[in-house]
This record gives sequence, C-alpha cells and structure tokens, in this order.
Amino acid sequence: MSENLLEIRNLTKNFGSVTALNNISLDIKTNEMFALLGPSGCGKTTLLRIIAGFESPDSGQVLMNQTDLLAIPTRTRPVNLMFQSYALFPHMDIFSNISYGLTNTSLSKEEISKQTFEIIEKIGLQEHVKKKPNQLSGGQQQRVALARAIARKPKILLLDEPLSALDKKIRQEMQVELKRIQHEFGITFIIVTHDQDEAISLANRIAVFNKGEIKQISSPQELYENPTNEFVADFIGDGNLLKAVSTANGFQHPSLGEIAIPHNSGSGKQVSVLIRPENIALVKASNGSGEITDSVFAGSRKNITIKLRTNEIVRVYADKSASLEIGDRVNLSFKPQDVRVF
Amino acid sequence: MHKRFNLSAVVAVFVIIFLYLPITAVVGLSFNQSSNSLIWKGFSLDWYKTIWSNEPIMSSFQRTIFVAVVTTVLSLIIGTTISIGLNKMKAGGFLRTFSTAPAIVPDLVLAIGLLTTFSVISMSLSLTTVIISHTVFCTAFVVAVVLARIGLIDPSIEEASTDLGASAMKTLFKITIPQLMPSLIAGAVLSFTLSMDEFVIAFFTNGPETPTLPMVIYSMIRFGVTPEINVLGTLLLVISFVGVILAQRIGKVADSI
Repeated sequence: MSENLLEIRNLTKNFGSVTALNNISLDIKTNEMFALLGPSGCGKTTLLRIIAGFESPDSGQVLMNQTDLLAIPTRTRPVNLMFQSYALFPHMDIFSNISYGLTNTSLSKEEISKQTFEIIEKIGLQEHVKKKPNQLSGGQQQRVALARAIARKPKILLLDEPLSALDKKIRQEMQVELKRIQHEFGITFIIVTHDQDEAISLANRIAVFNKGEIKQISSPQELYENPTNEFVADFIGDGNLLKAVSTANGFQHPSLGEIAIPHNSGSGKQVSVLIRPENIALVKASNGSGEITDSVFAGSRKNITIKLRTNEIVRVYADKSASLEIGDRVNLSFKPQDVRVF
Repeated sequence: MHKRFNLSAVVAVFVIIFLYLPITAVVGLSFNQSSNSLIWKGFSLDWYKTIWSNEPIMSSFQRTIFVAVVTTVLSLIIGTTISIGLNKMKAGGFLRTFSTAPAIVPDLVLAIGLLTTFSVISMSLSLTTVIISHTVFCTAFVVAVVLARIGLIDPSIEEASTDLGASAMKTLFKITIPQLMPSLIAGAVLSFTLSMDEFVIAFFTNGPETPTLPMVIYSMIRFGVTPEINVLGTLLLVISFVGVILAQRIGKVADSI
C-alpha cells in the first residue's frame, strides 16, 4: 500500500504564455483513490491529459513503477481514461463499446467475448448489451464508460469529473459504485474534479491545485481541519476568513478583540484567520460584536449570517432550536484550537 | 370557422406550379407519339425504345455515368481528407472558405482556369481531364457538407479510441468515418448529380471524341427539341430523384445510429 505506483517529478507545461503546470511533484500509491482538485483552469486537467498521453510536458518526468511512462505511446500505456462526456461510440452497441479496448489486443474472439461479459456482469449492464448508447440514461451511460475504461485492466484509471453530469440521487449511487469497482478490480483511481464534495466523498488523498501549483496534498479530513495555506482554507468547506494582525501571543481582530493562539508568524503582521461555521457559538448580548443579518432554516440546523463591526461577514451553523432572530446582537465565542492562522 | 383568404398560400401554389411545370412538360412530352415534340399526337413509349438503339446517345450516357461515378469516389476521398485535416488543424474561417471556393466560383471561370492549366501542362483533353475538373468542383461541395458535420463530433470520441489502444487507421475507419456517414452520403449524392448534368466545365475540358450526355443533348438541340431529348431529360430526372430519395433513406438510418 505504501509503494509508489506513479511518481510525478518537476512537471512543467506551458500553453503559449499560460503556465498550466508549474514544477509539479506528486506521488500516487498503488490502489489509491487520489483526487486532483481545483478551480477550472488550475492545471489539473492538463496533468490528467499528460498521464493519459494526450499532452506532453515541457519538462519533468512521470514514472510508473520506476519506468518512464512518457516514453510509452498513448495507445499502449497501462492507463485508461473515463471521459467527462463519456465519449461512448454512438454507432456501436454497448457490447462493442465495452469490448473495443480488448479488440486492440492479441486476445482471441472467444476470450474477448468472455472477458467483456464478465465486466458487463460485474457492472450490472446485462439488460443493455444490444442497446445503443443514446438508448441509455445518463447513469447507465456512465457505467458503460466505466466498464469500457477498465476492460483493458489498466494499472491506473483516470476519471475526468466523473459525477458532474449526474443528478444528485444517481451521484450518490455512483459514488458507492465507483468505490466498489475500485476495490473489486484493484485499480488505482485518479479523479479530476472541481467539486470538493466529489473529491472528499471519493478520495483517500487529495491534491489541491491552484494556478498550476499544488497547494496541499493530504487526506480529506486533514485538508478540512488543517489547511496549510489560505487558498486551501478558503477553497475547502465553508469557512470564515477574517483579516487580523498577529501579536506575540495570538492575533488582534478589530471586532473580536485579542485571541491567544500559538503561531509562528511573528507579531505585527497582517494575517488571515480561519474559523469554521460549526466551531462558533453565539451568545446574545446587547453590546455584541456582530449583528445577525440573515437566518435560514436548513433542516438539521440554522445557517446564521452575522455582520461584524468591521463589515466582515461571518457564517455560523447554529442549533435549529436556537432563539436567534435577524437584528439580534451577538458575541462570538470559539476555542483557540479550532482557529487556524495564515 | 370561416376560412380566410390566404395570400401567401396562393403565392406558394403559383411558385410551385412555375417551378414544376417545365419539368412536367419534359416528362409529359417524352411520351409523345409525334416526332415534333411540340405537337401532341397521343401516348407512346416508342421514343423510349428507339433511344436504346441510338448509339451516340447510349455511349455518351455510359461515359457520363462513368465520369460521375469516378468523380464521386475521388471527391469523397479527397474532400473527406481535407475536412478531417482542416478540423484537426482547427483551421480558421479563411482556410475553410478557401477550400469550398470552387463551389462558389462561377463555372465559366473554373472551366477557363482548368482548360488553361491543362494546356500549360500539355495534357490532352479527354474524359480524364473531365474527371479531374469535375473532382475539383465536386470536392468543394463534399468539403462543405463534411466540414459542417465533423465539427459536431465530440473530439474525445477519437481520443477514447486511441486511449483504448486503437491505431490511427482503426480510429479513422471504425470511429471517425461511421460518424461522418450521413454527410458522406449527402456529399456522394451531390457529387454524382452535379457531375452527371454538368455542361459548362465538361464542354471546356472534354476532348472531341468523347462527348458526355449534356454535350450530346446540346448538339441535338440545335435541330430543335426532339422527343428523344425529352426522354433523356426524364431519365436524368429519375436518376437524380432516385439518388436523392435513397440518400435520404440511408441518411435517416445512419443518423439514427
């Protein structure tokens, strides 16, 4: 499990004057569900296309089991891609779509047919074998795309925004399904997505990209709880980032006062302070530091919006039975260990 | 409900009559017994029989079909290759317009240009030069039709084929060309019908020994329109219609896949 399957070393790629990847290094382990997460245009798709063989980097290396992956032509790389648009062959039936990859091997017709039916069974497409892609629903089409991409038993399956085109109910079904397939076939999955929920729910580890650089690589929980920089803090989950000035013992915020937190930013510097909405408690006080400007019932909780004296907006998740009304003045309290300073 | 007088419907009916009356006249008069095609003497299939034994007409008819078939095949191959290339190059408006220009350039200009070219390279005029000329002209139509379709194909479909281990050739024949099928059929029908009744370019670029059907009809017309010409016209019409209807049928099947 700890063995590195894929090692990406100092990868750089420019498109004209645009830097898509800037000196990226990354290790992916065998049997991992790894996500490349970032806003659109951050370089994650370029990295995916380099691994698949549709782009070549300007410099850097991609090693699979210590051998140079970039030296292997696209069509023989032990890597397959599940396209965002699925890219099913519209003129072929489901069987021909799924067996297409195997027809490009030296396997006999009988063997191709046998292996194709095995996959069709495992992915649950038995009823659709003779249909054309346009006769299937979005969820079924995705299953075909998945079956087609794993038919050649790649070492790595690349998934480009795998859940983005599905509606909410099928998304959840497909999440479970992808994990099952990954486990059953023992293939390393690399998922590219701009959707943090997709990354967090599927991946063991996530690399957060921004502007061609990796901002942090860690487990979903670690990303959420201990972001190492402001970008990740802002990008992952709901968070409140407040401007403050560091002091010797913590930080000084014009509205919240001084909070003691150990840090190593030095004193007198502009810092950003992250406090998650679920870590803030509200206490009504006539001279409170903030005013409730909005309160929305969200099922299990209330989403409260507070405006501080500094005009900064803070979001808080409160108990659904809390008696907090728009216009109330409140004080904010939180534990120092829930606060992150950048 | 009281029906209101609909002017546009009346205009439409007159336009349709105006468009189809001459065609109906050709077809109708091809069954005329009289040897003067302007005087109706009764229904007869005689002219359809005598035309088979008219050697100059039948051999020019064969030549015309031969030219049309070869032109269609060449135009499809060249036109599809150009379209795929332009699409891969992500070529802009200028190159696209340029590659379909022979379809818009007046036939006469194209004909003079081709004739000049053939004499510069001292190529003697024959059916070969007609085929080359028709291919230049029909390729432009094929490119126009195929380019419109190829832009609609999801480029990741070809990438998927490569990703799944297919060679470039296999991707072309198993993935790209089947996707283009409806436009290839349309391009083939266009090329065939355009070449079959093309007169101006053939007139300029053909040798004297091998007249095509439109050229033979033209030389016959100098002595007046005979029922035989009406028969030929009707036959050309039937071939064109059958081609178009077949293309639509096959196109529908190809579109549904």
